[in-house]
Amino acid sequence: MIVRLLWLMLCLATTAAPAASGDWWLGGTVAMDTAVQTADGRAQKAETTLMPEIEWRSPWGFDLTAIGRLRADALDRLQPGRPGFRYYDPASRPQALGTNGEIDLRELYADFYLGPLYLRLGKQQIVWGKTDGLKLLDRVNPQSLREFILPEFEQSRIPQWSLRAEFPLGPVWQAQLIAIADVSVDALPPEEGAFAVTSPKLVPTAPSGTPARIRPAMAPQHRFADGDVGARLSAFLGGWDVTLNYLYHYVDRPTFHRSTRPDGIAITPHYYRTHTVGGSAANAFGDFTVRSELAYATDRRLIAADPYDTDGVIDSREGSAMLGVDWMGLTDSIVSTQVFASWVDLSEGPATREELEWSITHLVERSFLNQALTLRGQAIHDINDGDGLLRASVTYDYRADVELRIGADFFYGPSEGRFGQFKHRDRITFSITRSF
Amino acid sequence: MKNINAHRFFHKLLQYRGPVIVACLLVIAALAAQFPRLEKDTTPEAFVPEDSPSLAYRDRVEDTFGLKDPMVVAVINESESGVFNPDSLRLVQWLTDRIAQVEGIDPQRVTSLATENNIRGTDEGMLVEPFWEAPPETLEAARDVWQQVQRFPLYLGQLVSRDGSGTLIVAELLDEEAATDIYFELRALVEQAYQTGFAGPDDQLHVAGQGAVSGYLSDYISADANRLNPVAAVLITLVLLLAYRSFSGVLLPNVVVLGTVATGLGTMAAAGVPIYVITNSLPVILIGIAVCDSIHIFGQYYEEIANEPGIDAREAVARAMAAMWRPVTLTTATTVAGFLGLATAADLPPMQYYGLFAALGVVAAWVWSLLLLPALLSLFRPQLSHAMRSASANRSDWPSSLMRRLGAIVGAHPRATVSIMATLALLGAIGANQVVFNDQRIYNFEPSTPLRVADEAINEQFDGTYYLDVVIETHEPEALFDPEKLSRIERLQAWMEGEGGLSKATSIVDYIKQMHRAFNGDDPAYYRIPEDPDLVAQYFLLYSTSGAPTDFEEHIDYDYRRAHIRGQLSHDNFQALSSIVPDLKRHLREQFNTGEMRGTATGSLELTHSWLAPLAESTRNGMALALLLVLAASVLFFRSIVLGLLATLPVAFAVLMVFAVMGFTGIWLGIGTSMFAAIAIGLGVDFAIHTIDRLRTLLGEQSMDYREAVAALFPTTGRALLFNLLALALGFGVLMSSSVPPLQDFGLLVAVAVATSFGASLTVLPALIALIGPHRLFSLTPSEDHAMPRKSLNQRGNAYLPLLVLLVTATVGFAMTIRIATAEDVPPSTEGRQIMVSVDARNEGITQRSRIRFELTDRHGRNRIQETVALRRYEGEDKKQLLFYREPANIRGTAFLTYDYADTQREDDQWLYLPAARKTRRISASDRGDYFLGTDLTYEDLKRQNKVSLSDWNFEAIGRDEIDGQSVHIVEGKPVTDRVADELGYGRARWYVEPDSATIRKSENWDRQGNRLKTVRFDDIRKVEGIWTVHEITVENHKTGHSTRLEISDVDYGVEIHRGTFDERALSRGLRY
Repeated sequence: MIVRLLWLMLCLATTAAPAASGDWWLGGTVAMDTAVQTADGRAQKAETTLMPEIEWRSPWGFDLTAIGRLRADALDRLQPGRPGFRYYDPASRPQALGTNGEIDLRELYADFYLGPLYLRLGKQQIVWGKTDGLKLLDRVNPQSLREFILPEFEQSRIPQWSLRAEFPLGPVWQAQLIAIADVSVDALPPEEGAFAVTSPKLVPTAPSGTPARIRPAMAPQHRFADGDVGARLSAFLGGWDVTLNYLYHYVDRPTFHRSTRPDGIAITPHYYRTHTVGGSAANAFGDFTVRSELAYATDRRLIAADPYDTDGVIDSREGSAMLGVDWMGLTDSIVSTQVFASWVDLSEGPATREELEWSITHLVERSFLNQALTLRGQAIHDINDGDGLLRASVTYDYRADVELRIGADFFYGPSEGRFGQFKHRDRITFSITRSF
Repeated sequence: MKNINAHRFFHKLLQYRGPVIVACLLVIAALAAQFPRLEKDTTPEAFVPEDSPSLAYRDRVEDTFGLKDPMVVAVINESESGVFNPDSLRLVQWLTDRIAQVEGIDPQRVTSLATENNIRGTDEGMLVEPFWEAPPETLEAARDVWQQVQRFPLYLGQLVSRDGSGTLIVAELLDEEAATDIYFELRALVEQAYQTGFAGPDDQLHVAGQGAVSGYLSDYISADANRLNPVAAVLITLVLLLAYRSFSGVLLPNVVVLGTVATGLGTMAAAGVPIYVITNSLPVILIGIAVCDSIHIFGQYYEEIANEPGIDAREAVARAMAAMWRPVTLTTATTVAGFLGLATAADLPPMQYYGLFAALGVVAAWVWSLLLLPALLSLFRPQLSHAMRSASANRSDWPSSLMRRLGAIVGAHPRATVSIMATLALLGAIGANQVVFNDQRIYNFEPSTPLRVADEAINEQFDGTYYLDVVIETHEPEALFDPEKLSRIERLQAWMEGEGGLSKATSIVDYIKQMHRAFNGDDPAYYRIPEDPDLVAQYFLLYSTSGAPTDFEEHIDYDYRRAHIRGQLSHDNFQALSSIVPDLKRHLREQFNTGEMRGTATGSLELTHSWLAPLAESTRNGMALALLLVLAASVLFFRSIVLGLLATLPVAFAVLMVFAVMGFTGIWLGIGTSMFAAIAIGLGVDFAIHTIDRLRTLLGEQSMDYREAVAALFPTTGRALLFNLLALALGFGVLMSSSVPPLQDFGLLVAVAVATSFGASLTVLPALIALIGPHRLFSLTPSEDHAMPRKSLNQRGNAYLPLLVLLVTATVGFAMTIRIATAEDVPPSTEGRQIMVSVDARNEGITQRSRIRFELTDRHGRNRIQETVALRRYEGEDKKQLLFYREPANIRGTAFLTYDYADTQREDDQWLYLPAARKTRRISASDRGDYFLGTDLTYEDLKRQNKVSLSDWNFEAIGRDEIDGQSVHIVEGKPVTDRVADELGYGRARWYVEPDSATIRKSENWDRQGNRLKTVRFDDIRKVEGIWTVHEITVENHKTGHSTRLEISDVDYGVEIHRGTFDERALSRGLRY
């Protein structure tokens, strides 16, 4: 741990040290977040997070940025015990500070501007797509599901060591090539965590009465050979923002392979590769903005509905699409609706999900007092399962550098559903964020 | 794709060969049908990006002063009397009359001694009259004209050579598109002059000028292409004949060549991209590249037949394809990488198109080689080619023997091979140091072409036909009557002719001085600027009584506010320009410009300099990017950094050698030659890849030792590579016979580069492999379990194909998106509108960068402070603006981007980048009445700042007022429609406009219900770099009690802001300004 801490400090120091000779900026935020469960009145979290950021603009045409995160949760109910971080690449792993805290070098990257070629090299977040709340193309980086999908994606996304190169292809098209040398995958909360995944749609269940044993995961290990690569072409064509995306990557959530043993069954989480191709398009028409996204994954492994299936896995493929409309007809307001559809190939047999699934999201946001006060309501509804998530918040900028926020997150629907499984985790939140 | 899968795939393909052949040929025919739509653009403007500020300014100046690139006909007589003899002057009159009748020439803009006015003094005062009514009949009369010209220094060196031996007839074109035809008509006219006897034996006639260069160049390169393309095809056919001596081996690669050229040029035509001077070489290059895949496939095909005589045709083809698809794909990817490197790094559109369409052609060659070629080949009876038959009978043909001998040397002496290369590299570095970046447009023509001869003759006799101009701008009408200002212009002209390095500089000042002298009895002492401004005004009035009203339009505008200095130079040599143009700009900035008068460099030489100057850097970038992409592709395909580096080394060495050749032989690195490096890298790496791929098989799968492997490599793969080299070297070598000298150099350089790559790939590369012993090559022995690595290797090879497909899709998409310029609406002319039009027309510079500090105060006095950086850039009449937040930390990185289109019918585009989501959100532009990020400025206010959209309001002037002691006009506006009122959020507005600076000092807005909404004050308005700039804006919202104060500082105009900065996709990168 000491070595890791020293390394972190060294990284921040290398950024800070030459600052004397270049243009540099030091800032960040400190936030206190609390959440109380409405079902039992128990506090869910009482967390303090410090996120310092250093930027150094060198006189030699490149910039360095380092973002750290130190957080401590007095309650330790989201991830009880000393966090293990086994889902992270060893080079990306945060460092646990006892059972209640962790320190993490969130991002450390250098930006190079070589004529028309732009390079960002280092640990970073790479974001694709135009959806809000749910993800289709935004699958480049894995995500921490410590608090399910409730935190901002900016906070839950796991930055990875990668190279992002961007260059124009003529006056209209722009190419982005990415190569990721980092084997982090989605960080799932532990079984005893507040947001542990229990839905049988997402984790397999053994036939009743059969003992099951979880074996070590078959996960990507070699940073280079198991790295992800992708390309994005984007253009502004006749008023449309258009992208074409391709990603050859490990799916960041495992499939669970079942094998029969004399003493019961063994379940081995397997990570596997897929090609994801897709695209997105957005345009504004009067008061309306239309956003759309398409994605097709050549491999998608699903949990077999039949508990006696040989390996418990259905080999499939997935096509998904989103169509969203934002309406900004009212002053300082946005009303947004998105429809998501996901299709999988079930020719190999039934799975725990349906062949075609639909979700719908609504967002209403309005600000007052010169945007000092913002009211926001959001609903995500899974049409097939009839479950969903309702969120509401009030944010007030007390000063330019102090933000107060009060919110509520309510889950509903059957407890087998993606959202319904957390219906006992409904909560009221309160946070104060101070920037410096 | 595993070989077994590949084999299955090609078998399947051959099963359906009939439909495959028909489909492929149909596509090729459809693309070839686009050829008639191909156009040519050989103007220098073609090299300049559409949104270039230099081009925009030059066009504006040309519009104002009616300037165009003219055709020039020179009459030169080097006899004792020079051109001032009756015969030559009659010839001038005859030519002038005839030229004015040529279709496409503006008869009002033909300038010669026969049309120009002389200004001279008489007893009554000043007389403006032509040099002659009819050409002089006697030698004395002709000499009298010469004396009059000598008394009019303006014409010396410009219209008449300083020694009297030559004079020019300058003709401007009505239709610049018809320049080629006009050039040839003028040439025919000159011939006619000789034949009819109008031109005497001592009269030499030349046709040149920038208009002629542009016009003739188009025809010149056409003829060149028509000649080169068949030669390239014939040469390639000869190589194929030499390699395989079989009918199919000659015919089918030519079909692939045809398909490739049809795809490359057909898509270019369909996309409306014209042929530029440099893209002329594209077909030749595509012919050379297209044949290479076929050579390797045929080599393997004959090897399969030799290994199993009597094999079924389909089986032989399927086996050959299964073995070759991978290296062929790989070399295609690296060649595409080289061309895309060029397309990416190039700033100049012709080069971007060259890279893109060449890349597209290479991909087409790949597609036709993998689909059409096997389908066609399977129709032939499998028969060993005559050339290969001798090899199979162990009687090596000469290429195999040659390669075998080379292999023996390399195999035995790896260290010596590497040492020789190191020494050559050292020598190369010395030569490369001497490379000069330079270009000169007339050098596109061979020395013996009439145009180049004419250009050299004219520029030797006269002060030059290349122009570097300065536009003088003042703020008040008739400001240029002021003698002090005229004196400053005179001093600037003197500086331009002296330290500035120009041959001559002329302006309205020369006419004023001439008029002053004429008015004072032609006394030379009065050849100066009069001290009384009224006198200057009177001279113009006096002149207008006898001269044509348009006589001065090239020199001064109608209200005497702007003038034009024409600087002449006898060449457009970039090396010379690279000091002359920056020196002039520096002189203007440091010595000339003041708040009252400002000079800006423009003209064709400035334009040439503006696009050539970044070329050296983009060449470097293109080379670096091509090397990087090739390295990345090689690393990915070989799954090894060492092998990737080894594959890249021969091309890096080849590029160094070519620079050495350029350095030692004095070939310039210029427009034509700047592309060689990126192309040579993409092509040259193929040799290394084939070598490594083959060595991988020999060392790994067949477990040979190093010497055995090298011995086996040379007669097989080495032989195929030798023919590959011959195809490429001949393809590019054909360019050496081009009539366009830069293309000759380009052909030579690429041929040298690929030959060096070939040499290095077959000598130093195996030698280094022997010395380093890369793990990846030597580890795959049968004793080791290598099933997994090989499997993953194959998976990956497959995985990168979609990437390639995506990149190619972009090239097509890119070509389809050519922007169309829009015309500006003409405003009506009421007084209120006129005032607001003047505000709208106020110069804002082309680019601007500033810092804006927002101070937001609520009714309780609580403050929020935000720091931003604002960037702005005009692209033609369209305006792009970008606002980046720097403070406070919680919104740092938030960026707001707008495209404000001059076309009022087109809705603006807006994006907001929110760092918390790391996503850019499209914002509806109809929300322009919404308040921007908590300020009291609406999106519209922020976008316009101190201007108002003319199409949104009906204006009315309602009186005058005073603000801070300054008189202001009050203009009231009402939205043109209710919808606009809804969008803006205003029912009425009033602006207080200060007329001298055309700035708004204050504005008041009322809401839709008629309530007073807000007041905006614009303060601290002062000039920055000659442009009126507001430094403080205060907005008070009377409804909410909220206020916003903007402090604008560090304003910088003319700052270089790359176009890509205003790209929605660049917002996530953050700010670097």
